[in-house]
Amino acid sequence: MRCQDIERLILDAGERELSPEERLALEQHLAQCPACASHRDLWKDLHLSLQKAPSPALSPELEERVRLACHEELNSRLQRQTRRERSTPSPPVPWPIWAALAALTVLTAGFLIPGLEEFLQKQSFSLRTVLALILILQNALALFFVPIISRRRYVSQPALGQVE
Amino acid sequence: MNSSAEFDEIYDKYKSDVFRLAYHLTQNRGEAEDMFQEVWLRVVRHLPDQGIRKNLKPWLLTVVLNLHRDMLRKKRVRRMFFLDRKKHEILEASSAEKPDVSLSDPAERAERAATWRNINQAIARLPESQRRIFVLKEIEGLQQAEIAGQLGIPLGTVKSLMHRAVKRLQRDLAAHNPKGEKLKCDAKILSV
Repeated sequence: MRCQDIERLILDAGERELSPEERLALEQHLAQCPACASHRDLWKDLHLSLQKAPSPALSPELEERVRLACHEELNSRLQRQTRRERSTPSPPVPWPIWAALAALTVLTAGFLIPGLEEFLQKQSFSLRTVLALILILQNALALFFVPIISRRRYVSQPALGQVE
Repeated sequence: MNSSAEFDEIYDKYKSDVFRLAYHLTQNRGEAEDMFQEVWLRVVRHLPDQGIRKNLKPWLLTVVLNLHRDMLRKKRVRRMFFLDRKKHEILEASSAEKPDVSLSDPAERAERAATWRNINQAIARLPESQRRIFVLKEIEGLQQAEIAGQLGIPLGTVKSLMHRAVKRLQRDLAAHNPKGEKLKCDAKILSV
């Protein structure tokens, strides 16, 4: 075994039981190699010194400051959680809006596809197609904002149970 | 984490361990204090799982190690732009440890304090990767296999870094140790 292997074995010996072969090899090597024997002694001294070493002192001010900061963080988290639990779920989208959306889809298919075919043939829109497109666009925009407006109204009027 | 009482229980149990590791990794009291605070704020924010709580110490050690890694990364960037000086930080290791009151003889106490100061400074001079392994093994008392798991590196790497750390420490401390005379190994390869 090389000295390097023996040095590693010395480190290993601190945390696991060496096999009889390893122990024999270690003893034989240490008996013949003063450098490794010195390494083992120095390592033992260092290990013992580290075991006796005093712990770094945690100042009471820091300890208390961190405790208070954590309590504050914990309380604000708990408050946020409670607020989230109390808040009511967003209202469902009313069925007439779904119906209107479905109608819009049908209208779009019914007017837009012939309008586009006409545009491809003549390279221009007729007044009828333009009017239909404007109507579809207007309705689509209105339907897009209906859920937002209805939700805002719902949130601004608190539920009866929450009124104190 | 649901209550202050629950937090206090965990805090009182592990605060010394967290501070000790932070202190030995950074070798700087100010940085260790900042890290200590950050670790506990993370505990409050990210400890919802009951499963972790049963085995909290390794989780806390991982948090400290991750924070230390982040801190080193930031330092490297600052150093790149000449905003920080390495020498200034590293050997600032103060003797802010608790005095060893178990010794009644002041001379013995002073000698032990000097020994510990030398060891502490030698640890501070270790490269970061070696210091991390050495502190986890010798100060936190982890096994080499546990360190490998904790840091996500092969066991062989841990052993190699530990070996290098010990050799380097011995070299550094040789000047302060009467038995530390340099010896030449005349038996490089011994048959067994």
